[in-house]
Amino acid sequence: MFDNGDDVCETEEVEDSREDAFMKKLADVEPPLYPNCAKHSKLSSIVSLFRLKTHNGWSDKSFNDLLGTLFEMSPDGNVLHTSLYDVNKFFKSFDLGYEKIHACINYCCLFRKELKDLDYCPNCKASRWMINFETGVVKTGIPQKKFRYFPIIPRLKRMFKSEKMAKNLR
Amino acid sequence: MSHKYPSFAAEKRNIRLGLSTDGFNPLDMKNSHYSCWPVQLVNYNLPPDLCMKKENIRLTLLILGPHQPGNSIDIYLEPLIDDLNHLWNQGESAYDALSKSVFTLKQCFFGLLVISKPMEILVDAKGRGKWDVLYVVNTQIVCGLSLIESMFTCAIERVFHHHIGIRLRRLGLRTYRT
Repeated sequence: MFDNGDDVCETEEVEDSREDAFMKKLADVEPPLYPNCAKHSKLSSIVSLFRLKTHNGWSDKSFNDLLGTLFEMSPDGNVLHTSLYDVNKFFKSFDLGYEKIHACINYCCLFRKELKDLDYCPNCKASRWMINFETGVVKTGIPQKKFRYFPIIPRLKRMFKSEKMAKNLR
Repeated sequence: MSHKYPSFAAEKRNIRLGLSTDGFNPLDMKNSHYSCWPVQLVNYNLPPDLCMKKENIRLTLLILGPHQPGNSIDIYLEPLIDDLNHLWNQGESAYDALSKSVFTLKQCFFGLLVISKPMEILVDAKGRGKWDVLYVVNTQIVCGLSLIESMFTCAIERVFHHHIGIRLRRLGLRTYRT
């Protein structure tokens, strides 16, 4: 299963450096929510709030407003996020985001890899962007078809970072 | 699987996955202008009591649009299949928290969960709807299993390293050859 010894050492070094980077990122979000807060860190507070949002089906707008109010209510020097946009950006930095991929309207191809910058489908010549039916103006930047892909490799790798999960997985 | 690829079976941390999809209407049954197709992966490495829990089923694709994708769903699966192929061929180094070491993580495609009609379209196996899970090795359908059987056969295969067909017959389970 493994390659020769040198390769293993090399990949281990790379993986170690990645591991260090992840741990550093984790340490960055470890400070308490506000000075002298014993119960919540930056990470735990935002994760528990986001969990409440998803479990109870709060709308994005209500959560956004709540974050704004919570920020004002908390003591000075707190590190709470002020908007949902900030929260999403924060989660994305942990490899838990998703990719939006554009597709051809006639299901010929996906605009990714070498086709990433094309404006037309190479197969059926259909436009990638929305077209206004009345005026015929091409709305560059708004795709006709798109879907979301949640990359699995970082997620599978992340499962092994938790001791409990790693035990279950063998 | 273990019989055919012994090197894969030797590493217990290699992951076996199942794929499933179905469409639903996010707004109203009467409103036919919206459709939503989530594609999920099931991790058969977890113990049978955990692997079908909702927190362990992970969403990999979300296809939204005015119409359901039907047969054209293939094109949407491209990024997922690319990643799965990469994991099968090259593998990816990962850090294991339990043994505190780095290992090469690989995956195999264990089963397709055929619970609904749309999945039959996906695997081009229309009319074989009596099975919940198709046991697949390298795009070859080997046999059909029920949901419960699939969880336990994978566990059996991982523990005993036996060829699945032999095991199934010994257990008196149904086997299905294409």
